[in-house]
Amino acid sequence: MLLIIPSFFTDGMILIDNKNVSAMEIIFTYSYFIPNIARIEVIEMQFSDWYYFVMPIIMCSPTVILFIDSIRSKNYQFYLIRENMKSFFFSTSVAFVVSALLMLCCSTLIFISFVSIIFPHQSAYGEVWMALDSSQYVNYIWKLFHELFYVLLIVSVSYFFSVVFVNRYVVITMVFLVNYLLYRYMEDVGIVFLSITAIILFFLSYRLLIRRCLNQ
Amino acid sequence: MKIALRYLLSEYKRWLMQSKNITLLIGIVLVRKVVIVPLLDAAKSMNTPLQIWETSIAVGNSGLVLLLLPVFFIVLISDFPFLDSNLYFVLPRIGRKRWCVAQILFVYVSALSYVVFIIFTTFIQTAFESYVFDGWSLVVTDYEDQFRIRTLIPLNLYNQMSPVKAFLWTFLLLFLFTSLSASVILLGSSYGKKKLAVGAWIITIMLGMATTSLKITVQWIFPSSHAILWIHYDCYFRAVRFPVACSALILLFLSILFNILSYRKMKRIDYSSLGEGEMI
Repeated sequence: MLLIIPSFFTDGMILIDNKNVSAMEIIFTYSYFIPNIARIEVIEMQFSDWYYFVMPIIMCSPTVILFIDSIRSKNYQFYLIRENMKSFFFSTSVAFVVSALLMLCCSTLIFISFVSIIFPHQSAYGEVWMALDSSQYVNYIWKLFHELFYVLLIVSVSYFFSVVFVNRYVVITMVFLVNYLLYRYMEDVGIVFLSITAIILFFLSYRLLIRRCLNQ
Repeated sequence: MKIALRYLLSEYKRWLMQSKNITLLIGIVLVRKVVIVPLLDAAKSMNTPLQIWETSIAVGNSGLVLLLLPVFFIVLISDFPFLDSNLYFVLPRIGRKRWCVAQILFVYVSALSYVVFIIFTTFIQTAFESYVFDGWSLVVTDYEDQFRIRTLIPLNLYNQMSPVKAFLWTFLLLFLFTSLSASVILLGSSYGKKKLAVGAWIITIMLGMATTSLKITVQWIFPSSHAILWIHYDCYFRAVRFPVACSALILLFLSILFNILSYRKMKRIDYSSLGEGEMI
């Protein structure tokens, strides 16, 4: 989370002195400009390029490493004595999804708290901007909702590659590259498509996992 | 010496073939995002080519890239020296001293390979849109700050030296700093404190970068500050804040000192106590 939260502040969408500056630069270098920026404008810039850069590594690394270790060391066989393969797949995939979504939600809450403390509710431009505020909040909530499904897709990709390659470095690098190629087009892709793709990848992972574990 | 070189070659091949090296792709993407894409966009907007070494110079002088590249290198050589069960068969055959010499040579060979790889990947991404003449391009010397190129190749560089000279010094400093990182790991490993050495070194790098960005005199205490070329010079005057040759000598001296200390320790050590397993 210590890496994800600073990445929320790195988008450069605010124009000062003819330059695009990020929220982090405003806080440290242009602090005199803070009263002119409403907090919703900063919150809307949460999902910056740097966030998409670190997101797959941070969100997937912990669970990928543990999962691959359990497959390589055949630790799952102790689990299979008590339960079946379906249950093992279900518990590991839920662990992947829940840990990534929890990380996103907690870091978002901390980010919003920081921004609410630092930036004012309304910008110094006052009532002129009030009419836009409610639509901006709705847009942000929709963006966050969409981002949850995108993270779900990335988690499904990481799970799939974990089962295929069983090598933590290869998996993390492949997930990073897939995310790097996809994130620019993410906004144009619907939630339904993201969900269906994630489900298909999880299903394929399940079939491959059975084959891999039975062959070991 | 021949035996040590042969052993070095086998270890080097093993290092090249390890699966960790795939993480270099992340480093390449990072360098492309921070350095290459802004330079290429600026060149396209201005409709002028870049000088062939400018991207490599920008890579070696970017604070953010110099913060992350050594970390990537440390991840790649985190298993160094390779202390597996083979060691008990290798040591009686080649001898302790030759084994130590091979490890010290591996420090420099791995650092050189890494730096050459980074420079090569930046080079091939911009080579087809560059010229060879030894003079700074308009993209770098444009006085308007609109492309933020000054954060990549500042006035301190292009007002003081030609691109080829800047590239050679950048390459040398980067190589010496990377080999110093490997020497620190070797020293930590020889005293059985590899994780502590790596942690302390990463903190030293971060503090060095932080003091460099704040532009305070204490920055010269940290080796990472000596690895950045542009901070050695003033913006406009022909004034040197700290001689570059001295920085190169300091980095080389520290690297040799750590290697000598490692050699002296490793000659006497019980190797069964060294194995720390895979770090990262």
